[in-house]
Amino acid sequence: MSSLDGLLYGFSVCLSVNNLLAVIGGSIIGTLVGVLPGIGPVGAIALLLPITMGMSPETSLIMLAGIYYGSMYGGSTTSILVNVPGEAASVVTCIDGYQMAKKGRAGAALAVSAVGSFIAGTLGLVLLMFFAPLLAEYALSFGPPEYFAIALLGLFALSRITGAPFWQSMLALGFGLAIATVGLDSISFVQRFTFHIIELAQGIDLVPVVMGLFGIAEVLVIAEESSGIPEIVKTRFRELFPTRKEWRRSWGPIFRGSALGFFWGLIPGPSTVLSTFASYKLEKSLSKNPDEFGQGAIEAVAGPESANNAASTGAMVPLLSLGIPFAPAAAMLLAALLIQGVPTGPLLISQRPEIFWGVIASMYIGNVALLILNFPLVGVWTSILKIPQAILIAIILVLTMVGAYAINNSLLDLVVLVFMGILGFFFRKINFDVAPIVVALVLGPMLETKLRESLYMSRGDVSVFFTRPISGAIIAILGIFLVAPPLWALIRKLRQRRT
Amino acid sequence: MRRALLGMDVVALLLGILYLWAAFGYDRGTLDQPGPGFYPQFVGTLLVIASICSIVTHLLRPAQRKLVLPKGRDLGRVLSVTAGTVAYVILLNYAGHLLSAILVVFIVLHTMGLSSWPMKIGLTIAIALGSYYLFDIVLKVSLPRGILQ
Repeated sequence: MSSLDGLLYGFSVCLSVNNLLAVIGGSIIGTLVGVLPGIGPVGAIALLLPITMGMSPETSLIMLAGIYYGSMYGGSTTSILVNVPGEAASVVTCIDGYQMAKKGRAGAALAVSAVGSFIAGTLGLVLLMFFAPLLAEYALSFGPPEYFAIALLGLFALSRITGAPFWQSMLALGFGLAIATVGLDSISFVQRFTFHIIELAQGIDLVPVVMGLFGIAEVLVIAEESSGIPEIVKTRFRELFPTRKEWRRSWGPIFRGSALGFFWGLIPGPSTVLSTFASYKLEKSLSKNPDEFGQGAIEAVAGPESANNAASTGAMVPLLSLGIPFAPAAAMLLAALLIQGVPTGPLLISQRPEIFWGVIASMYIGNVALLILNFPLVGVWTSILKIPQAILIAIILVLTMVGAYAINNSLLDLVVLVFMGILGFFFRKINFDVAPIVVALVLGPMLETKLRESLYMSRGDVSVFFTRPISGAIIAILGIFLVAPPLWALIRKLRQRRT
Repeated sequence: MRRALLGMDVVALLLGILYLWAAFGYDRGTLDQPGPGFYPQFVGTLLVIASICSIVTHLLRPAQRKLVLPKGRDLGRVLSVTAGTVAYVILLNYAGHLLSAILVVFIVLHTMGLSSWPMKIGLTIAIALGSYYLFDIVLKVSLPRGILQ
């Protein structure tokens, strides 16, 4: 099936009533998640995962993907109007977006951000449509050593990119990998680390862990801070149109941000967040007036807002073509497929085209829906911020707990949820990044299975990981990722000493 | 902050040692026939090494930020919400979802400063009933009914 045929097939899947409702619903929830400070896309997807179990796999993924990219749109609204990032990928937008709002240009910032997000999302989709099937076809020749190498690269590259201290990231990785080993060993069927607790034989589910680390922990943070209703910069509809000069200054950053963001999305790590910082730096270095950055430069809103949207689309490439998530939100989307019993990996495109092409087509529709939702309806979204936090917290808390219980009707999941919530709150306090725990928890079982399969296959010859061209190349990249940063730091230190 | 980080590292080290000790209890197999203990032994080693290196790093380099723990009313709110969630878990099988949810929602609304009593009671019942309707009736998840059965 060519990409164009695939896309047309995807639209035929997507235009059913259920799937259209899923796109619109996902976009609305995503915008809401983006607008509301606190619950980010990962927590929201985890929260809604149990609800989507009654849906068909494509409807479920269409809705959850809508939440993921929809949150990128919504996040800019509160950054610009309240100076509070709705989610982490909008932190950079606060810097100049809020300054623009203070100067009476909030409408222009919101419009450029919405249009930039739309362009980036659409361009990213075109790239996704061509890249993912190619990669999946190529990946059909992959064996266990290649998958092991990719999973290993995903894990260790993530620990290098997040910016957290190296050993702290390793600790988080180890923690996630250890949790993933609890339960029945899938090859020998031996129970491991279950301590004779029958419920633990099925393993520790990903969803209560994520809901706890992201959802409950966030609720506790909000409970602690308990701020009042924020002051919102008022914007009228007629003020939503940027001037010709503002548009002219925005096109370049939008297209550069789109390209940069998409390729960041292919790299393991919190790409939506990191791409915004990269775009901000790039625009500042290219600007004729770098002094304006920080004072309300429209380029600093257009670039990063486009980048985070394109990154969320780019992150779908490894997920849909290899079945490997490189970011926590993508891990949650993979979990949605696994819960539904859908085989993931390169065969997804050929065996379940309705899911692959349906999701891609839904993203085109979702981007249009989000542009409409975020551009003229900005007032509606900001009014949501006026709902008392007590009510929001109560609703989120009950839905999180019932949702965690609903997955397996297991009280153990609830215990895990509360424990992870308390742990997540403590981790926030000490600035400990939990993203590697989630990715390690998802990639852990694959890492173990592929390692053991590779060793069975090679009859115990460890060189199988280095002698096969693809896995060898990936392991070499991994080596560079691990060795280059400390080596570079050492060289810089030596140079400084000399001077 | 440094003490908290070191405390976490030490707990991680103890857990890592425990995990590794348990991992050695499973058959490691051979390189060509790796057993169920093969991979966990690597993971346990990673945990132990990472926590030792983290301890050394935190001893050598003092933390840049100060740990800000909740105090006074802030701490009260955090503890109340936590207590609410714990109470839900403990009560779920005995009191059922509806009564447990009523308790946790009321605790949250009360401690988060919603002052009007009719609003508090109304919202508590509405949120608890709403969650029951969504999961039990719409999504057909059989939630425990407890004493209401």
